[in-house]
Amino acid sequence: MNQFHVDDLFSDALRAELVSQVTKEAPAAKRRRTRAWLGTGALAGAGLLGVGAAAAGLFVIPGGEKVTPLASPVTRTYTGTATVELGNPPEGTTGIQMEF
Amino acid sequence: VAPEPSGPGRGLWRLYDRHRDRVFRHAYRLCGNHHDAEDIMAASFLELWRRRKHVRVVEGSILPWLLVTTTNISRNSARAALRYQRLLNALPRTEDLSDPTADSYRSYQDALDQDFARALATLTTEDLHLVTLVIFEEHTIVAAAALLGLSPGAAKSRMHRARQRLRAALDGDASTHPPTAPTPVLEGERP
Repeated sequence: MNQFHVDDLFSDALRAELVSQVTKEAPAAKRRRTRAWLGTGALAGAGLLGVGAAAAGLFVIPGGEKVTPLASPVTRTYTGTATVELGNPPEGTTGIQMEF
Repeated sequence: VAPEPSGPGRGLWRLYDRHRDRVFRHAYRLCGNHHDAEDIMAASFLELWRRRKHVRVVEGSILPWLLVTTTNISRNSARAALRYQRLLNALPRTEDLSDPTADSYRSYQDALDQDFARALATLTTEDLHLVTLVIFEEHTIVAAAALLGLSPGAAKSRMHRARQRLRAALDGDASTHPPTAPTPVLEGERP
């Protein structure tokens, strides 16, 4: 009636093979996870860098407005009507910016 | 017997030991050939590991999933065997020295097994899954339906048709193989 039972030799070899597949896979899975984390970290880093650079005004949208401060700001405190002396405009000045 | 390993392979080792015989018997039932049944059983366990993230546990057991996979592999044995062909060929086997034609009981049994496998082959894959789970392995229709994604009502009517088809396939052989034709599957109607 041995046709109803698995051959022991075959069965033991198969079991050993299954276990070896698991142990082979374990370090590989760990490596894959590490790689995935590194990839995510790099992406997040690049994203943050981009946001930072945009905030610092390093990028100008094509056709957009580019503001280059040519003179140092002049800060005065007055009450009522007053005249603010800005001095001589530097070379290439096209406008002034005022803040109240 | 080799000692149980302590590392990450222990779980699969235990699952293999627990379900090996039933999976093998099912594979044998489907193909009626010892050597092929071993290949199918081995491929089922290799698939269990390869597709471990997709395994469905029914009533706390992976056996139903394994049996369905075994059926699928035996139906696509060419394709499934191809994936593991090298590995399967490399596994050692005890050479069967007894000549099956010399043993009359053995040759008769082989003929019966193959008739039975042929009768099962007349079922559609889905019906074969149901017959396997409900009749051979005694799971409830509800559990089998859950695993196969059927409603219990649909599973029940499918079971009924599958029984009729199986009965017809086995009766067809009754003329050539008198009373001992294997009919345990038709005995003991389940609710």
